[in-house]
Order: sequence, then structure tokens, then C-alpha cells
Amino acid sequence: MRSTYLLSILLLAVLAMNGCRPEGFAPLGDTNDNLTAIAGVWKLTKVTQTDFESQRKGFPYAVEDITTLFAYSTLQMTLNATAGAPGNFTINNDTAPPITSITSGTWSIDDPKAPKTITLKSGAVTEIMTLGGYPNSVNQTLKVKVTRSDAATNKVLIVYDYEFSR
Amino acid sequence: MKKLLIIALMILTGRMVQAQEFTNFTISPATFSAEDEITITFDFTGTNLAGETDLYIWTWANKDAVGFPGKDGSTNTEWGNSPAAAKLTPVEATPNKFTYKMTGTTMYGLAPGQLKHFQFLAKTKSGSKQSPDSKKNVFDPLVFVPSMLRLFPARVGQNDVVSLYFHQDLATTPNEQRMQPTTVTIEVFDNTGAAAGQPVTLPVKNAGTKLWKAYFIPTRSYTPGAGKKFTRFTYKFNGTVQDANNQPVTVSTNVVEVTLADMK
Repeated sequence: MRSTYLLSILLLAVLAMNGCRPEGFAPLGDTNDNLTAIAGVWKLTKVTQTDFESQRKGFPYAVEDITTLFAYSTLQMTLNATAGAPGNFTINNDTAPPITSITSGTWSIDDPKAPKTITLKSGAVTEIMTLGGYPNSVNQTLKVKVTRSDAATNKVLIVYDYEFSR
Repeated sequence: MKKLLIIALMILTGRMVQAQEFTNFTISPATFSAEDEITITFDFTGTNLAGETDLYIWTWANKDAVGFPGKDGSTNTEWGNSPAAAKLTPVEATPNKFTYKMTGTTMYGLAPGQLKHFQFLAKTKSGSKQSPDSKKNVFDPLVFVPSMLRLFPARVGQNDVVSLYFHQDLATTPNEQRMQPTTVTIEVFDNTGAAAGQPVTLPVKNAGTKLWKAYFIPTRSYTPGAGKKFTRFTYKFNGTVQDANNQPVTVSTNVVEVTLADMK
């Protein structure tokens, strides 16, 4: 009688614990196709320069909008996708200062589902852009970040934030 | 007459001491804070220490720096018997070349904000031979120090957008206080020390009350020669003041030299 009682309590406890387990819900709607969202022709609309060391130290004069200093709006970046995979890229600087050291080659992303970086490659040269946000149907803006570091110390000195629109 | 002779001798002695400053070294990275590890590379070729195989550093911080505590390096234990921690490392197969690695805060036992600059000399273990004192090597400040001429970003490479600012409200000379800024003169130099071309003159824009700005990209204003890269540039703001006859006279600020970082 006592063992039946104990078994009942144990069974109730197991049921109660399982009952508290959260249910997994699948995301509503279709999964975002971030690769397709990133691919395409992009025009540069905004350039911000951050003095990373000044920002880290809490100094004034850490960030400047440099969009209008040069003809950045003439720069166009094309990220081609083939069969659902990244392909070639071209950057037409026109009269804008170059934003990368390479202007054509292949591009790739680190994670097709949730990419954090875009890697541009041409021969032995690789440039990495950190994604700041995915374009979507509401906000058609591609935001990328390029860091410049001291070659001797690897310390990040300058961060350029680039905003593109279609 | 005697007083004049003494003053002349003092000036001459000062000049001689200045001329004897030790300059046969480089520091990597070119700019550094007191928290960064730096490498000093010595070249004793042609100096009184040429041919020596065992050399030691003797270093100190903040000499004559008002508001900063003067401090000897932790390796300055005994002049006549330098410790192993002070020994310079010979560069393999390169006679008379040595390196030494150190971090300011560790070497001087001071907080980063307490270190303004440091100096050193090289010596034999017993101190029987030594180099002259080095110049004052300035640490990158860890607190913001307002200055009349300012660079943004504070450290830039040859491909970066460089903004040059003239904070006229911080000017101290009458010409700098009174001038109407019009242009900036920039001269860029490559790793051979040669000028990249003729100095360029850029227009100045008003960026606020008593604030003036110009901007450029070194590799857009000049093209580096094959296999060369830009390592530094100088700049000065130019403008006009009115003379006693109300005629415009061109004046300039002092020239500022900027070391370009090697970026990747």
C-alpha cells in the first residue's frame, strides 16, 4: 500500500515536470532568405568614420559622418548570387574613394541562415565586412562595417560604417 | 663681458648636449600608449658602442614633466651591474643591432595616466661605456588633451580619410588668434624619407564657432612610388591678418608632423 502511494507521488511528479516543459514553436511564416536579401546592386548612401581608440577611451570627437566629404554616393557595389549561392562581386568606385582594396572577385557569407560577415576575395586578397543588419521588405538598407587595424599591434584604430540602398 | 662669455658658453654647452642626443633607434609601433608592448630596435653602427656584444638598457620616465612623477625603470637596479632583465637582444647575423621589448606601465610601475614620456640609454653591464640619452618618447595620452590643431581620427593610415581641425579658440599667438583661415598646406613623405611630391594646398571650411576644417586622403592626393608607402605627413593652416595699413598679410600656424599607421 505504501509502495503504491510512493509510486503515485513519483508518477505525479514526473507528469508535473513534463507538463512544465516549454513547447517549441516553429517561426511564423517563411524563413528569411537573407542571402537573396543581401545579393543585388547597392548604392552607397552613408559613410561614418569612428575613431575606435577615442571611443574606447571616452574621448570627445569619436564619430564623424563623412558622407559628404567625397563623392561617396557614386559608389556602387554589386553582389551577384547564382543558384542560391554567393557568386561574383564588383565595386564601381566611380569618383568615390575606394572602400576596399579590391573591386572585383567572389563573395561569400559565413552562415547562410544568419550571416554575420561578408567576405570579399580576389586572389590572395581578402576583405571582411561585418553585417550590421539585413535588408528586408520594410527597410531596404544594407549596413556593413569595415575595421582598420594597426598592422603591428592588431589594435582596431578606425571603423567605417557603410550604408547602402538599392 | 665676463657675463656675456658665461651666457655664450651656457648656450654652446646646451647645443652640444642637444647634438649628443641618442637617435640610433626606432620604436615599433610608431605610436603607443603606456599599456602597449613596444619594441625598441637599436643600431649602434658608428657609435662608441659599436662592436659590443653585451649591452643593457637604462631607462627612466617623466623627466621634467610637470605634474607627472619621475621614475626609474624597474631594471635600473645598479649602474655598475645591470641585471639580465635589462639586457638587449642581439639581432641575428646583424652586427651592432639589438632589440628590447617593454611595456611602460610594467617597466615604471606607474598607472597609464601617470606616464607622459620616457627616455633611455644603452650601456655595457659595468657602465664603463654608454650611449647619450635618447629623446623624450611620448606615450599616447589616456586622457583627452585639447589642442589647437587636431586630427580626426587620431591615428590614420595612408588610405584613410583624414580631417584636420584648427580650434582657433585654443590659439595662443596673436596671429593664430586673429587670422582668417583660408587654406591648409600638406606635405606627404614616403618610407624613404622623400617628399611624395609638391606640397598640396586645400581649402578650409568653417566647421563651427572658431573651428576650421580641411580633409584629404594621402593616397588620393599623392600616388606612392612603386614599392613605397607613405609614413608621415606635415600640415599647417594658412590665413590672413590685417597689418597696420589694413593690408592683408599671410600668416600660418606652426607645422604639425603626423606619423601614419601601417594599417591592415
